[in-house]
Amino acid sequence: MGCAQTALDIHCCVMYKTAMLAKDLVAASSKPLVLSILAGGESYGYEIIKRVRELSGGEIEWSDGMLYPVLHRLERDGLIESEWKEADTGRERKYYFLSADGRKALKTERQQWLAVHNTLSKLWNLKPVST
Amino acid sequence: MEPQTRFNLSAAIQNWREELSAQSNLTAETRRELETHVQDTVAELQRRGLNDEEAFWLARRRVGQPDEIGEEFGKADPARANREGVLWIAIAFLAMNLWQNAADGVWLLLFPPNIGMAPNWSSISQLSYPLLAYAPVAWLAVSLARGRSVMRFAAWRSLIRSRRRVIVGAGILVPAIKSFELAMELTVGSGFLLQRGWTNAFWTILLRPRVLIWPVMLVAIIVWLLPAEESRSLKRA
Repeated sequence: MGCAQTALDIHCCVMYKTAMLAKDLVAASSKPLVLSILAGGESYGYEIIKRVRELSGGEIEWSDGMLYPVLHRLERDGLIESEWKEADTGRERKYYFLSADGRKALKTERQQWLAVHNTLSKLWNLKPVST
Repeated sequence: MEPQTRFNLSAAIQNWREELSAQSNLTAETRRELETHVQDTVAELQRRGLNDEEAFWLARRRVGQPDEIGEEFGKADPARANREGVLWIAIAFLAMNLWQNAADGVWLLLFPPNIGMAPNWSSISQLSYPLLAYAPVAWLAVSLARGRSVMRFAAWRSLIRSRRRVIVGAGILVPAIKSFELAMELTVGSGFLLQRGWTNAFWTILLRPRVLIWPVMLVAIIVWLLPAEESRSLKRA
C-alpha cells in the first residue's frame, strides 16, 4: 500500500479534538508523529498521547480513544509491532515499537514533511531545514 | 437529605467494559487495551487530586463514547466489519438449520402420524409446526432489527470465543440434532426403523453426508472467519 493511501486511510480514523490545528492536518500528521515517537523507543497509547501533548505545547490534542485505531492500522501495515508487557505498576500494557519497515516509512515521511515545510518556509521567508 | 450512594470505581469500570463489549468492531484485546488506558488516566487524575468518581468521569470522557470508538475502529478496518457481518450470517444460517431440524424432531414427537394410515393430522398440529419452527426465528430477527436483544446477542459471542470451542461445540451439537431429527423421522414419522432404534439412526445420519454438508460447511466458514487473536487475547484478559 502506498504512503498516500495509508495517509488517507489514517485520515479516516479522525483522532483530533482540537481547535488549535485543522482536523485534517492533525489526522495527516498522526502517522509521522507516532512513528517518530516510537523511533525514540517503545511506548504505549497513553504515553504517546501525553508525549504529543507535551511536545506540541497542547496545540495537538488527540482524543484518547481515537489513537488506537491508528496504532492498529500501523501495526496491520507492518510499520509497528506490539507486545503485552508488565509495567512497573504491575499492570500489563500493550507496548508498541517500530519495525524495520516502520523505520523506512519514517524516513519517507520525514522527507515529505520537510519538503512541505521548506516550501512554506521559502514562501514565508523562514529558514529552511536540511533534509 | 437523601443518603448518597458511594461511588464504586471497579463497578464503574466493569459497566464501561460491558458497554465496550457490545461494540462488534472491538476485539477482546482492543477492549483490554482501552481499559488499561482508562485505568492509567484515572490513576493520573487521582494523583492530581480528583476523587474516584471525578477521575473516572473525566477518563471516560477523554477516551470517548464506546459507540464512537467502535465506529472509528470500523473505519480503520472496513474489511473486519464485513467479516463480522458474514460471520454472523453464517452463524444465523447454522442456527436456523439446526433449530428447524430440532423443531422437526420435536414436532414429530408431539404429533406422531398414524403409522400405516394416511396422514390425519389435526389443524392444531398443522398450526403448531410454523409456530415451533419459524416463529422463534422471526421473533429473533425482529428483536435484533429493533436493537432489543443487542446485549444478549453480544453475550452470545462467548459461545464462539475460540475456534476450538466452535469446533468442539459443533462436533457435538450438529450430529446430536441431526441424528435426533432423523431418528424421529425414521421411527415416529415413518416407523421404518422403529425396531432398529436410536443407535442405528445415529450411524445412518453419519452415512448420509448430504445432510451434513451444509452445517459442516457453515462451521468451516465460522471457524475461518473467527479472528485468531480473539482466542489469544481472551486468555490474557
